[in-house]
Amino acid sequence: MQTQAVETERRMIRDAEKETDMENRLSDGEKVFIISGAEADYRVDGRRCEDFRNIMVESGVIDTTDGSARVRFATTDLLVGVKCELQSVENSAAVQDRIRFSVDCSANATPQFEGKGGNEFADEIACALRTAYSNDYVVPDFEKLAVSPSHVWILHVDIVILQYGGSIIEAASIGAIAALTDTNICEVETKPADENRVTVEMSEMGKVWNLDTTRFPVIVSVNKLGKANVVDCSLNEETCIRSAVCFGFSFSNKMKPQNLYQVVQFDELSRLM
Amino acid sequence: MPYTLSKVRIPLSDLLQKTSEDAPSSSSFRPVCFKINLFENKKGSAYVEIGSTRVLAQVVGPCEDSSGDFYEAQIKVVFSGFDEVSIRSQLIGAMRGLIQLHLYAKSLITINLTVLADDGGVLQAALLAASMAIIDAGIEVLDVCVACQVAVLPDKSLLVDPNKSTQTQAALTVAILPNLNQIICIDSSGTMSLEEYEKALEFAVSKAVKLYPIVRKTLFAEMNS
Repeated sequence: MQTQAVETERRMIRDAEKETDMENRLSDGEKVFIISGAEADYRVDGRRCEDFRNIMVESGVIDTTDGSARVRFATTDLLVGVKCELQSVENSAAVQDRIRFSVDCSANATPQFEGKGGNEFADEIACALRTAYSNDYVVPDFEKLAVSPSHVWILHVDIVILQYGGSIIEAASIGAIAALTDTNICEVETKPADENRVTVEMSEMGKVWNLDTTRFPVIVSVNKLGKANVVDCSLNEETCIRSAVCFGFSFSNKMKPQNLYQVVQFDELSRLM
Repeated sequence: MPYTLSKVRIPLSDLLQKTSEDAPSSSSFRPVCFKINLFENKKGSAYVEIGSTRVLAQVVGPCEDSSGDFYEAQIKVVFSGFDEVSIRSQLIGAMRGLIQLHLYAKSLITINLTVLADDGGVLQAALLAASMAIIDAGIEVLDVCVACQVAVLPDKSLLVDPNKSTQTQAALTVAILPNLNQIICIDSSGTMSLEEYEKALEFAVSKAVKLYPIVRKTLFAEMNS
């Protein structure tokens, strides 16, 4: 009798564990439904494999930043703010990372982000964006950000993930472009000073310039659901992904960084692209 | 004898020619050295040296993890001596594709990677070291993993295994499972057109396969001894 009680208790604990684990887990039947649907080019929410959800971009949403944007992809919600900082450095030409990214995951975004859960994910997104922006092709105004040999504009792009509903990397790249387009950078004048130094002064009141964002990269991730190539996965679809590849595209057919997770057959990859 | 004087005159042109031969050729790796089972009484270690990039990998586990996943093992990667943010997720993703995780439910596999020296291509060295250490630890895998980094130079030519000082337009690291013909990791930076990208990928895969006999030999040498 006693052993039976222990058995039931164990089972209860096990079931409870399963339930807490269930946040993002689907049964095999549901997975088969999603995957075979995607292979037939039909998805649960009525989209085809190549369709995105509605994208809403709003710029100039935070007054306290120099530029900001809010991006919504159905349930995904991101807030992006840009702050400009004029830094005094020894040699401005040596400062390569003039656009810096940091990503914050709100603990409300998804249960997995509770505690420090979101930190690694945030680093990954920030790193992908950094790789995407770390070449002078995509940032035509790179030289212009260095105002003098000892002064350089640093643009801090802070991204906050308010709600996680899949396709964060797409939303983050779009948000970064929108916020940087919205960013007003002060016109400054440089004047020579003592000991070969340069002083920087604000030019006429309120005179600003904007970055040339025409070549800024848009990052798209393509996911494999069964044999189908799917873009913009919802949360449920994300649990069925076999592999994924992210590409950053800059207009005029140049492309940039990407990471590929897990397994993909070599001949399949060219079709992904 | 403090020093030796050569009686033979060496023409200056010979010296110049020699330096051009020493420069990395576009189709060969830097000298490589692989070794597994480095420590007598502890399984699960590997050392990879590619040129002067040196990586040491040690695997702990699989250990029981009561809060672990119900269906598959978790992988944890700990780096030392290197700012790992840029390559951590690629490494974990590749290892998830390599290891038969479903055989180790509710357990944790920890991979400790020590980058002793970094002269470019840390990701390819780390991938090779981690996969060999995992095999040495006796964890079941699908295949061995071979990895290769290639660079696209500004004149659009391709170079295998660039070192840190190489001026590149773009770089691409790829890891494959040679027997299954599957790609488990791609990481690239810089700008490439789609055609260049496809060419670079094909080149990287063909070069990565060249490492397979060396990895195989390393593993078998330890098994037979």
